[in-house]
Amino acid sequence: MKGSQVRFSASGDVVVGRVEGDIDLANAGRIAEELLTKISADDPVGLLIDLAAVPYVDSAGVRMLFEVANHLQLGRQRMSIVIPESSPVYRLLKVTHVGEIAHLCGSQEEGIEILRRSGTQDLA
Amino acid sequence: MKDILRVLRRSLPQGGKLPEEVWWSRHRGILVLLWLHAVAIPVYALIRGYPVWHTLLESAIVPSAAFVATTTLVPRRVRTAVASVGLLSSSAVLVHLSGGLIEMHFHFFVMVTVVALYQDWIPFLASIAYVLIHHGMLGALDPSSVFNHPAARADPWRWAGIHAFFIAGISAVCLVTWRLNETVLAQRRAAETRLKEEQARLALMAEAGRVLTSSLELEAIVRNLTRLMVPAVADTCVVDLVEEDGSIRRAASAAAPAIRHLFESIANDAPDPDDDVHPVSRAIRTGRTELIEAVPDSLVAQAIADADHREALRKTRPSSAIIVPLAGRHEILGAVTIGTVEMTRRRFSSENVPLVEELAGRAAIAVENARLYSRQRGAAEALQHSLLPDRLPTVPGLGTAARYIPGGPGASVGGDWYDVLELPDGTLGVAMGDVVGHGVPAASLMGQLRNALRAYALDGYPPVEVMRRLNYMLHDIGAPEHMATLVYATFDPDEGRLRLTNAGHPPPLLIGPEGDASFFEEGGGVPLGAMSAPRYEEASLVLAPGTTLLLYTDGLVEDRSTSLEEGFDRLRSATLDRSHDDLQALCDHVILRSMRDRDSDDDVAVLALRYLPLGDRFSVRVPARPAILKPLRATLRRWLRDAGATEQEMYEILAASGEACANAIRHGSGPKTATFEVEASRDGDVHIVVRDRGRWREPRSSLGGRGLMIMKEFMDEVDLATSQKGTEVTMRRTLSGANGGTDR
Repeated sequence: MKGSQVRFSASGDVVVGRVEGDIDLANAGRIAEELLTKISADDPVGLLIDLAAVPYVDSAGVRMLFEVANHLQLGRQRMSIVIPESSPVYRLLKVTHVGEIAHLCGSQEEGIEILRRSGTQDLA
Repeated sequence: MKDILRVLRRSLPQGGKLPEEVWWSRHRGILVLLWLHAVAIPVYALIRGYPVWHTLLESAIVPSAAFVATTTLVPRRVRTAVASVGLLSSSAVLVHLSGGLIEMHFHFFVMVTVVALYQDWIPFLASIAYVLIHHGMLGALDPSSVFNHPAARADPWRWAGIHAFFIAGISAVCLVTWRLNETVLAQRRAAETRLKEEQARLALMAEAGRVLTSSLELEAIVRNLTRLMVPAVADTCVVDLVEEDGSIRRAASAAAPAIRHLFESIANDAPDPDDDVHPVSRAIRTGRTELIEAVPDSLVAQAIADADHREALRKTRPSSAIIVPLAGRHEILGAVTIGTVEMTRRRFSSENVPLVEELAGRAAIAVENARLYSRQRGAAEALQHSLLPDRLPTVPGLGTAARYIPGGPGASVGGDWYDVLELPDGTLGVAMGDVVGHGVPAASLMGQLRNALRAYALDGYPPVEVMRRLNYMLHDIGAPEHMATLVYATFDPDEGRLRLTNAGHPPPLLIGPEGDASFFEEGGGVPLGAMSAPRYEEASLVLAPGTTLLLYTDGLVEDRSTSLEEGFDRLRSATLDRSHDDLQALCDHVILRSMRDRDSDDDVAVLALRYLPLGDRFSVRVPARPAILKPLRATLRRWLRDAGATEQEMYEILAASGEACANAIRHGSGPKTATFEVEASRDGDVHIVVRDRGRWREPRSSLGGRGLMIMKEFMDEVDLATSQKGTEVTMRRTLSGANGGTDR
């Protein structure tokens, strides 16, 4: 029953932020702040944003994703987004080209794997 | 010698004027006697064998005197004197006619006592002189007509002296009787006056006790005080009160009807507290009564600054005044000034002071109590009002209305409160509570509970958990006497689900879409603070669109004269068939009905929540705030589901509408009161219109244009119209289910 929130977990040097609830103009700023705070604190290789439990994202949410991705790029960090193709949000992310700044993947495992691999590629 | 004179003076009658009616009754008797003589004397003369001319001539003086004494043309004193002379003349004539018959002299004695009845020195002394002069002079001229024995005839003046001596003797006896009579009368009159005054004083004090304690409202008390004084005690009365800042305020004034128009002008001329001359300021400063037995014109001139007002006061012709301070327990609260005017001819003296001081003493107690009460009540009321929401959140698809009526002037402020909260998950929280107790403590506890409830509710705790935590706060941390009843419910406008927990509060009333009304008694538990760790249960219920939930406090159903059951029945019947009423009107209706029917002046709070049916077309005007987006989506989702949209379609239409709304919100970010309107209609296709009063924000970058892009991507048609009045976004989408399936 709570408002949208972010639950963080870590898998090695990858931070996983699982968002639960809608992301819209009302809370996009707060969610971005939570994500960025976590990144600057943990300084991970990559950030995996799990949107599987997000039933709704609007353009403010999309903008937030772009901002976080930009921020990560500055620190040479990567970003992936978990979004099942069955989710209604998937089509929105496609339409708004979010896929161009972050890998869209179906599950956390897949996302973590992608982030790790790209991280080592960068190092190599 | 001096002593003798003093004793003599004390024992002599004071000659006080007889009251008019007493004088008249005695005078009437004497007139009858006089007229009898006027008839009897000629008869006696004729019997004695006098010729007719002699008879008429000699007795003419008596009817003449009787005539003058009877006529009302001459003053009372003259009538008295003439009647006295007439009576004694009768004696003289009779003595003369009888040839100085000694027995006829007795007639003089009788007449002198009769004259004494007037209790007037002039006729009385005149009578004695008359006898002396008559006997002496007539005795010297014609002794045989006065005396019938030789010794007297030989020495008429000596015998006149003897007769006068006896007359003086009987006069002395009359005098003493007269004097005693006077004394007794004066004593009785004084006693009567004292009794009347005492009765009037007691009646006034009883009236004062009744009138001054009949209200706790300051203005009513001072008004009653002036009415108590005018006209019973004084012709004018003003009450001045010392305000919190030390200034003096004229709180009330009254004057006798004849001078009221003049007195009204000075009704607001309160004195300056530092004025040395103004007797009111002085009385307030010193705490001592001021008696002005004669109001000098200089005082009027000094006391009233305004020339017109001064003139008006002069025209009332004030004669005397008393200013009594209103002494409270710790300070002088003000002063009451009473005055008399020339017209009524009454005037104050030191005798009037005790009564006025006693009245002022009572008034001071009443004023002090009223101040204390109003301070407490004011604080409690202000506190309570600050804790009630000044306006309810606007939630699309839901109607809300509330009404709070404070208790009557005699009732203390209760701890009723209600709240409506937009919760972060898009549901709505509604609360209605009542803290046990009254006044500031109740209002302050209510404030604590309200804030705690807000915190827990906004944290997203479900009703049962909110209750559990509030009970913990109240029972385990708060004082043991703290108790409250509370209904807390969340309502999800998307599904129409109501989740409710009731802690000892009267059951909410559900008014169905068809107008049927029933109490919802599930989810009940003990009041908050009643016990440690009680079990609260959640009742869950899906409301049909059109259903109204009515929450209220016990003031609405409780009544001194009837049972609670009757109160419930009355409320239920008041809401029957009211499912289509405007919600505010519904709240007013139930409160008015209850106030009309019940015998109580308790405070009452009512909160109504209606799950609005959306129909084929609905429109809402909502505040331009981001928080509105979520409940707006919930409502639109409900409407789209009814329209037969698939999950994906719902999402896409919501996303497009959300972009239009988000844009309207960005425009409306200026004034807090900005709103925008969303209109949805379906006719096979779905039409969404979003109107605001701003201008469409042109895309500044690729990011900024994303909203428009989403709208165009998800809708079949998007139209943007910008005018001076604002921006209107019109969108259309064909649903797959509605026209045989357009695959999107």
